[in-house]
Amino acid sequence: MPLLEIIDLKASFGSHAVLEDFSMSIDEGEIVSLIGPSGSGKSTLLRVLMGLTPLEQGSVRMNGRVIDYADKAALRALRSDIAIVFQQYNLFQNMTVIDNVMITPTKIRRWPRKEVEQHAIALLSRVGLSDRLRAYPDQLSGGQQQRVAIARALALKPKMLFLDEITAALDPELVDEVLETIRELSSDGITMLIVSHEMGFVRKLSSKVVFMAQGRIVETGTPQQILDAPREARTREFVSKILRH
Amino acid sequence: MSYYDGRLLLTGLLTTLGLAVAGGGAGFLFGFAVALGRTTRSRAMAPLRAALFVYCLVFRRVPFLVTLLLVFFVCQSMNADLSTLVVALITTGLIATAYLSEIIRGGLESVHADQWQAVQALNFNHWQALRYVIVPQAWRVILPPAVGFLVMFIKDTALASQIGVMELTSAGKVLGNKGLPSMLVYGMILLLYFLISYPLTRLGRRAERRLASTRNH
Repeated sequence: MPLLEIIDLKASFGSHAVLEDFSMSIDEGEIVSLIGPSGSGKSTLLRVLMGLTPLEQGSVRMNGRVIDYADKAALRALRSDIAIVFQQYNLFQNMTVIDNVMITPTKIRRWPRKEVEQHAIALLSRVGLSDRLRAYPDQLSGGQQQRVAIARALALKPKMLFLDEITAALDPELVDEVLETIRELSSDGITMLIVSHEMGFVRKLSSKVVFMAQGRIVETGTPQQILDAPREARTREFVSKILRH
Repeated sequence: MSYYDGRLLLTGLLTTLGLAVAGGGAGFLFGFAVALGRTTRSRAMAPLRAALFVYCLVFRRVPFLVTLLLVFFVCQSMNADLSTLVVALITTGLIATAYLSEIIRGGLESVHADQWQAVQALNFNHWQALRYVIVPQAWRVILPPAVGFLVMFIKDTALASQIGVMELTSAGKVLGNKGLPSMLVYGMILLLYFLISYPLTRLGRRAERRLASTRNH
């Protein structure tokens, strides 16, 4: 049984459909990358799956159970299974690094503080920030903030991690440190759904690559299939454009 | 100046302080409630939002004195046996609430939408989001205009003298009528107003600095 199953999803902004007939499934331990031109609905898909944008049609199953996005308890359960890291990091500006990582486990989940703290410190040293525990987000570089955001997501021990263009807002020289962090985490076997334009990263990490355009899946395959030998003309065009850079 | 003159002045001073503190305190408390009510999104709350909107719209645009007289005459027509001090307190509360709620609402709305998105994805409910993330960030935006308003507000309480509340300005008038030199009396009144307002300004600045230091600017 797949961990996450998306069936015939549709979502719109006004009268404009941003996702249509979208179906795919993600097995436990899989790392799936979504690629495609801007505006193809990649980030919208993540937002719909998290219940941040309403879905119009279709259904989503987590562990075989259909998620009712109108049901608050179901939504809460879903959001404790899936953690998302945003393009703009979205760290809480009023809290230190360690508090950003600890607030949700301690205040919202009510896990014991001592254990949460140990876990948070371990995570932050894993992402290379053990010396910045008491810093505030705006005292950090973009890459460091994004690494805090990754630690914040992992502190919730999610079953699945969504990464929404996590390097798109970073200066080029800071991209590698963040990708390296994810690469390192991928060895843990955590299931991930990644939206990214970093093709080298997509190639190395993903077990499956989904190319989408205009809200629909065009082609799905292994990284080699999609990046080296795409079947569809649109995929070829996109891949050749993006690999040239 | 006699002992009784001094007592009168002190009573006036305390009344002015009381009006400002009670009005400002109520304004913060209810202003917060009004601001939160206005940030709700659900359809069921729409009538409440509309009522709060009209309240803020009206009370921020009517002169203090007019509101004061209105409350005074409404109380009178309802045969409510309230002292003029209570009427003045109700008025200051009404006005401070209207102004501060707008300042607080502006502060809450100044917090970036990204922060709301993050708390949502992390399963915070509305109140937890406000308490841990939104309000702490909104404070630094709320505080400077709120202190500015309160300083102005202390001075406005002088208008309560118009319905016979024995606050600082009324005390000055009484002393002047008793034959004390007006220059001396109003000079003292001026000094006393300054002495109440200035520490508030300083306090506000200190709080601003403290809030700012929690964030590296």
